[in-house]
Order: sequence, then C-alpha cells, then structure tokens
Amino acid sequence: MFTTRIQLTLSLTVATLVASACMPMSKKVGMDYPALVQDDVTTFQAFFEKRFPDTEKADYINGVYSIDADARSQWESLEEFPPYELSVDQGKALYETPFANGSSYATCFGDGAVRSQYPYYDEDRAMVITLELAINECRTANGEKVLKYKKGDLAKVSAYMSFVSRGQAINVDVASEGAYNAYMDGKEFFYSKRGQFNISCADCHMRATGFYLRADVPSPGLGQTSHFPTFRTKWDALGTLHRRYGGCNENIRAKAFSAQSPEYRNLEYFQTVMSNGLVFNGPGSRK
Amino acid sequence: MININTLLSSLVLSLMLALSGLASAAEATNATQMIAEAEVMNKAAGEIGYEWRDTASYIADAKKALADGQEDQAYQLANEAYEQAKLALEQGKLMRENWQQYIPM
Repeated sequence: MFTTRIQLTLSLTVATLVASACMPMSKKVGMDYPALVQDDVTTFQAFFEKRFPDTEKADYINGVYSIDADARSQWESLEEFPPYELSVDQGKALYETPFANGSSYATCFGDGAVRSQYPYYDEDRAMVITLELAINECRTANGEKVLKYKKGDLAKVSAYMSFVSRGQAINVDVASEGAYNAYMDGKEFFYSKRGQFNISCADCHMRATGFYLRADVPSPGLGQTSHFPTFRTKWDALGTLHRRYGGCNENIRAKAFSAQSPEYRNLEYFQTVMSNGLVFNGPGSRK
Repeated sequence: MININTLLSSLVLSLMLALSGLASAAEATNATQMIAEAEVMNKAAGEIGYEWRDTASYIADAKKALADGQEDQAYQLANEAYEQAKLALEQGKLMRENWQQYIPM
C-alpha cells in the first residue's frame, strides 16, 4: 500500500514535470521580442495563405469579402454608396469644431491622418493606447467630457481619421518586455475558449473561417482590425472595434468586457500586429 | 497521428478535470444559501475573466423569485447559476494554463 502510494506520487510528479517542460512559456524575459513576434506573424499569415490559396494577402483587409465571392459582389454594390459616408462627414465636422478652450482635435492629431500610429504600447504608462482611447484623452486634456466608446460621435471622429489615413501601412512594433507582455495577453485572449459555448476567437476566425456558421461565414482573423470603425447593417450605424468584440463575446455567451478595457486593448494590439504588412482601410461596411 | 504535446496536454487536462470533479459541490440547503454560493463562485470566475453571459441574470432572477416567496424556483435558478459559474471557473483555469495547446496549425 505504502509502495503503491509512493509510485503514484512519483508517477504524477514525473508526468507533471514532463508536461510542464513540453508547454511553452507564455511570457519571456530578455528575449528578442521583435523576432519572436515576427515568427508569430509569419505563422499566422501562412495559416491563411494555406487555407485560401486564391486570396491575395493584401485583400484580407476586406474581411469575409476576401474569401466569399458571392457576398463580395453584394458588398461592392453597397460600397458604391457607402453607408458610412454621412458618418465620415459628421466626423470631419466634429474634428474641425473647436473645443471650449479654443483647441481642437487637430491640436492633438494634426490633420488626423494618424491611424497607423495606433495601437501602440506606451512604455511610460505601461499600457496599450488605441486610437479611440487617444481621442478621448485628447478631449479630457482640453477640458471636454469623454465620449462613449462603442458608437456615436467618438466612432464618427475615429471614422473620419481612419478615412483620411486610408492606405497607411499596418506596422505595429513590439519591442520591449512590457509591449511583449501586452501582446501575449492579447494572444492568450485570442486563442482561449470562453463563454458557455466554449469558443475562442480563433475557433471562428481561423478554424471556421470559410465555412458557414448558421447563415454566415466568419471572417478571416487576418486583416480584421484594418477597417474599423465599421458600419454594420445589423447595427444600422457605425460601431467601433471594441463594440464588435463585446458582441462577439456575448454571442458565445461570455460576459463582455468594457470597451477600452485592458483585455480588449491588448486583443486589438495582438490582432493588429498579426496584420502587419497590410494597410488600414477604415471605415468599412459589413452585414 | 497524435503528437506527444497534444497527448500530454490531453492527459494533463483529463487529470485536472478529474481532480476538479472531486472539489466540493454546493452544499446549500435553501435558496438563500444557494444564491450566496452562486455569487461567490461567479465572482471567482469573473476575477479571472471568465464569467459567462447569463450567470448574473440567473442570480438576479433567483433573488426576485425568493423575494416573491417562490423558494423552490429561487433555489433552482441559483443552482443553475452556481453550476454555470463552476464550469466557467474550471474553463478559465484550464485555459490560463493550456491556451497555447489550442492554437490552430
């Protein structure tokens, strides 16, 4: 009996040690972070090249329409009179309207064509800064109230800034330990199953992309952050990327995080890094 | 062909699931206790970022049923919330340790 217990303990200990040795560390200290991240980007993008050999890499900025020809023709018809056009005009007007102190968004962002500067990792604040967060921080720095993060005026300002930034390259740096940790948190989020349906971002946007889930084909994970904010027919309005994240989480019956929470900012950071080499083309229109 | 990492991770996951099954189940004997246990479990799931969408609603509905004098219904709703929260917590613990095993190749 005693011997059996020792054998069991030893077996479990060995099994645990072997398993631990086989599981890669999620965060690494003092490493060549850009090289580690570039390996991930290469692997991630190769996944889609293999899955959809007929899709040009640059076309992934068009989301599901890069892989679904029938849906694309409908979308291209829709884009002839883009549903976000009015929102962009309203965003421009908001952008150019002075704050009460006489400053404006231009005080913070110049001509507004700064989409490719976001998201980035702020070393001093040890956090990821997104465009929408920066817009609100510009407001508070100038004595204005914050805007809601999911839709409305903030989405319109973001849409205008994205519009005037169209064609800028996605090239997000992950150059420090802090940045890498934020990146890894986003990566962990992307691949972790959650909610009552036990589904990860990757389940829909890697494993199931190209196949029908009920009546829809999930978009490929590559290029997903390029075209936000987006006018969705379902919303009948413009919405931000974090609004979409919240909707995705609710769909899988997970409790959504707040827009601009650390979880969603880090997820945006990871997803945007995965699209390095593509271009920003927001705002977009989707079903 | 199953690779060794997948096999080992499956073994570890199985072991963790088996051990989690040995954890104490809810021992509440009335709706008030059951609601309290569900709240504690759901808070634990939320603290690691894995709360499910509807669990808090079940707890809120259980409290309403209890306030309306519907003890049995309140207990059942709270028990559903507890079971959801327990699974959410297990899911979160498993994912935090093993998420890298779920990266599609």
